Amino acid sequence: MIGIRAKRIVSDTVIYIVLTVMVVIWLFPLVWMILRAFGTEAGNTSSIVFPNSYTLEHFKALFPGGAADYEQFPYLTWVGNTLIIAIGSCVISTLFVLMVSYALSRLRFKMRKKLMNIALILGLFPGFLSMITLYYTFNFLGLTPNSRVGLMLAYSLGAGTGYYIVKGFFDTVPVAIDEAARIDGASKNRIFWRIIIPLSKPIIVYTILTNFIAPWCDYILASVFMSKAEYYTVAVGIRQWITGLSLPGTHFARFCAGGVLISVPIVILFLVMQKFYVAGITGGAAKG
Amino acid sequence: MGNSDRSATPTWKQFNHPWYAKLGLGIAGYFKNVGIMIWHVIKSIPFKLWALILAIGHGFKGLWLRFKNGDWRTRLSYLIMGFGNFSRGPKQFIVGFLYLAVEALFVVFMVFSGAGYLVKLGTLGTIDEYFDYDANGEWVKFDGDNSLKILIFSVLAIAIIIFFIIMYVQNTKSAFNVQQRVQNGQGISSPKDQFNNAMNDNYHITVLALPVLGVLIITVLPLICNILVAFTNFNYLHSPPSDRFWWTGFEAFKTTFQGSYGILLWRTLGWTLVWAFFATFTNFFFGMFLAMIINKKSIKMKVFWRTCFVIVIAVPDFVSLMMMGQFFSYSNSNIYTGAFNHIIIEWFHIKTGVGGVNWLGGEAWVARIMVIVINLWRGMPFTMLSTMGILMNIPEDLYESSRIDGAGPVRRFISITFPYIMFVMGPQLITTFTGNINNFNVIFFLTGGGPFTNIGGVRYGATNLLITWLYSLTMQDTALARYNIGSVIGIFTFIITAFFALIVFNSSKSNTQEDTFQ
Amino acid sequence: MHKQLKNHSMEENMKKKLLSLLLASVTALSVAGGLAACNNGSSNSGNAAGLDPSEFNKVTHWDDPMLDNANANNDKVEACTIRVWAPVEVIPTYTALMNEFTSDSYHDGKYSNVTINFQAMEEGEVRENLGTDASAGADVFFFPSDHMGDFIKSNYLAPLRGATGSYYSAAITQRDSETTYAPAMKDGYCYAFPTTSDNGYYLVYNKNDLTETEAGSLDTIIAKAKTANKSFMYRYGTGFYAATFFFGEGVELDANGADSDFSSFMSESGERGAKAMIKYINSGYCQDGETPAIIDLGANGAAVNGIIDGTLIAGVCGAWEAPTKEQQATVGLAKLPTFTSVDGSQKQMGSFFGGKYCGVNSSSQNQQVAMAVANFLTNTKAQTTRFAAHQAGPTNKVVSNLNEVKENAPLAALAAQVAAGGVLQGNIPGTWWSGLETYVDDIEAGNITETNLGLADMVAAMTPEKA
Repeated sequence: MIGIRAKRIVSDTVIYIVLTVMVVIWLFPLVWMILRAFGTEAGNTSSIVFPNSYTLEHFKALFPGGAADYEQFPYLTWVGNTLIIAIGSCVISTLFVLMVSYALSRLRFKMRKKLMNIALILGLFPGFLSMITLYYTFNFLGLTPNSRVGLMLAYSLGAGTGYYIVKGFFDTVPVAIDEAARIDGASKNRIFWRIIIPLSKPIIVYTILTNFIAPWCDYILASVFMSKAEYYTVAVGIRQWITGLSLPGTHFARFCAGGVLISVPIVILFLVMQKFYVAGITGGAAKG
Repeated sequence: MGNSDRSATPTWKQFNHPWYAKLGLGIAGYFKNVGIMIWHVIKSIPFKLWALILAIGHGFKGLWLRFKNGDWRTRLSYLIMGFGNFSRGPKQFIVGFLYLAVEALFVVFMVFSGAGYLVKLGTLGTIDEYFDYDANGEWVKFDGDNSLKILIFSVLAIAIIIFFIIMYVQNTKSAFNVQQRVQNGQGISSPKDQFNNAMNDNYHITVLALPVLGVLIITVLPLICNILVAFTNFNYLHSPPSDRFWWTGFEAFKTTFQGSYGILLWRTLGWTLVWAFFATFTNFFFGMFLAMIINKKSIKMKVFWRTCFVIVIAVPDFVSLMMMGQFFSYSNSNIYTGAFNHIIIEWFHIKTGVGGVNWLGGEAWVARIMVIVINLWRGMPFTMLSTMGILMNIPEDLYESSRIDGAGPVRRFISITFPYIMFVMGPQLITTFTGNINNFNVIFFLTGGGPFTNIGGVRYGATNLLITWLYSLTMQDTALARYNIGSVIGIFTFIITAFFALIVFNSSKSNTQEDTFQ
Repeated sequence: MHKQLKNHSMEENMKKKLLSLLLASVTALSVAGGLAACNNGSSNSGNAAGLDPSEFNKVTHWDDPMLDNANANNDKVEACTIRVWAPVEVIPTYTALMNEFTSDSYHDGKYSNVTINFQAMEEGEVRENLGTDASAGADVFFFPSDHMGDFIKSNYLAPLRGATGSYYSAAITQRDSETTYAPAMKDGYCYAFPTTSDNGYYLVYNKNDLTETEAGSLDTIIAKAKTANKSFMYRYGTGFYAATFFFGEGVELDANGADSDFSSFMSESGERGAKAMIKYINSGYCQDGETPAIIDLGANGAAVNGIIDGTLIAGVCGAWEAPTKEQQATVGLAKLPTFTSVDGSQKQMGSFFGGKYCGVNSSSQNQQVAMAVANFLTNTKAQTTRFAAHQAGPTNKVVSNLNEVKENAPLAALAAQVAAGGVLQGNIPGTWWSGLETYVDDIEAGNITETNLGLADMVAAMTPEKA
């Protein structure tokens, strides 16, 4: 028995060492970014790993009046834009996904299988291909350039093809529940909103979470749709600070500060919601 | 995906076949099935075509029969849509006027916009933008034919025509239906009946209408336009609005698959598949390993360890990837080189060359390994998170019974844990693989496709995926843009991803057995 | 314009004219006789370069459409917003100018309802940002001369008219030098306001490490760098700088937009240029084995900053990142040095020269106001102000003739370089830059060596495909 115990202590120690090393490696670049955000060195050219002294200057520069060129780089406006777009597209996407999933999981109609296959295939075409066409189609409707509603719709209108995970979850809810409700005279509409949705909380939170975070991470579509600085999203806005020849030398620390500031709420959101996220990606295996 | 594991209660011996044998059989079976599927599709084409012709004939027949047997109200509906509905009393006003509105909007659209574009679809326009004197004698710009707009709005007009035809046929059916109900004394449905119908028997139309419309606008319409672009000469020399482009048949396909572009296409495809394979499986195996050691019973502070890794994925990836690009930057001087090179030189005194190593822009193989490693940094916690979720759900009695049978930890992993994880994650693994084929952000933000080299007069990026190559051909510098070749590559990428997606389709039980557990 | 560039003697001619403009201290300028300088004394401006304050107020009737114009009126224009894309460093200077433009004192507040919205945009990035949808672009934007041909071909630029016919086009031909406005002329109209004439580069060196003579030879600079354990900064990885050895060996640049033909790079002189480039890029490290003899640093200001902080012995410096008066105590300025050709002779390093322009978007909804704004940002006073703040080389004939401009050391160094080895930056297609930059990548990666020059592939990549 002592042998086994000794073995366990050794293996645990090894695991702790491995974990510690990995955590250091994994978090180091983030720590580096955070420290550079607080550092006095503004550019990316200075020959340092960590700053020599610290300041809040780069964070102040993200707020009105904090920097002389705030008007050219209105960070708070970018955050506001992204927030509006994220909320709007999250609401539409979530509704669409739930509606499609319900129809495909619970309702039986002629085109059902065909629709599922078509959606699967459509999801495979690279979206980049369509960007310019989408730009001009939206242009016709007055939704490009520089329209938050346009970008919001571009992110969300096509959400229906992403029914796969939610439908898989709905499939696991026993049909007997529906049937009981139908005998009581409930319409399909009522069953959907009053029975299926309340039973699917984890997968709905997952859908909301992923759809809310997606616009924060997109760069390309936003950069094509928006040409005025006051309409930029955070990704498009802060990327200016590390591209080109003049800005990285003076704005790199501000990029770090902007990146840190935007990441904090998203990290907290993600940590709080990670249970639901797991439920989503494992197809509800960790229900609840 | 994989929802059967929750309802079935497998015994541990069910997974007792060696996994490699299953994998081999699975792969062989897959290719066999794909072959059979393709054969079935090809075989069914003539039948499908015949069925389509029959359906159209049937439709015309129905149209004629309803006209023949219809009364004057129904017949007038063939000219004034909705007449057969709204002329029969207020109960049918809403339906009737909706039909009428469809007709009115259709006529307005075609007269003021659609027809004008459709006429030009054959040539994609004949006049370039030009300068001339205007009425005030000022030298100003005059619009030419915008080929791209002609293409897009022609496709839109065709879609609208198809929609109109469907509505038109529906209108005659509806008018005839109402006529019959009146003749049979069944009474006409009221708006309330129609609403109830929409909430019950036709509920699938109610819930699907908007999402399907959305997909049509966002995905299908642009997609058709872009497939059509592959048959034009739309590039930086023929770029609207200043210059029009026109149909050139298969020229763009020839350019893409022949000569230097052809060489680049196959090389890029090769790297794309290698990348997708490693990006998927390094994440999967390392993530699984990490989840298992954190999940080991005797390890304390599980939440802490997990949170440390989860933080990395919670940071939006444009922030973390752009930051990594800066972190690994390089200059051939110890002074100006990037942070990571500073660390290996100053902290660890590793002599790898002056300025450290050019991680992302130097040798092709270094850059390729680095994007995979950074992708591991970024993606592994995802697998860790989901694997931990799965591990918690493996029924404890499976382990108990295996212990009684005398299985050791390795045996337990091979026979229970791994198959169980594969069972839930397997289909998702292939989805991840197709996702990685199109993983734009990692490559774009880290290397931009570089390091670059000249192959037969065309710029080749060693870490370019098909998707980033497509991007640089179309969006990066419009003065060099080659939209037609970009479209061909897009179609090609689709075929590649579709090939792998068929595996998901093929292997996913949820698609074929979805009714089993309800 | 394309034809002009093909004509070699014309190019020489233009070069000489630009030289005469830049080398104001050497050659007396032939300022157009009809140019009547008259003061209107409208305002005061900041003065960083010790310029005589009266210089700021030299405004002729070619600078301001409302002066001496019977048809002009001071009626307020309707409220509108004019968006301007300008490089981030000049925005403060231009914002001050625009405050004056929209003030009530400027022609009774004619433009007081106009809002000016500046957005940071490097000149070189404008083309990319107009590409998807030019009508979504700014009303007024600044761009480099080599994009002129593309912009005119793509109809991005509005012909400069003015409320009464071709006023602005005429004004430009009067107040700016012909070399600078000629590339923008088409159909009898000028399509962009010449803004600066200094899109070029020269040598900066540490006066404590190098004498003026030593700075004249690349071999000496590198030898001295190796003993002093410092680097020579040269952005050989960027197309704008990379062709220097080709130009030095006498390779002609046929920059003619989509019709360009770069077969001249496949000549004997092209091979010598490639070999010199390979030799110098691979010229190794200083005696400590860690400091590179030649280093490529991207960031603006890197050369001057590196000399000041002691890491660089010398560097190639762009005119827009010129050392200030104080920095010139340490930082010497000169034309680029000579290099040793593979045939053993000393050859002058070549360089591009061109200018920056200010265009009005042809899709702008307020073209007349936008042109007034663009004019205000490029007229005599604006160029004086930009010179005072950034030592920008003027295109304006009056400003070029100011003593301070003539005596400005960076501009003199630029002029000396243009005279010694300048190549006019014509209408260069995008393929040329990426083709050359990929070639440098291949040299660095060792794919291109003296025995495997691969010039045919480079030229194939540089040349835009026809049709």
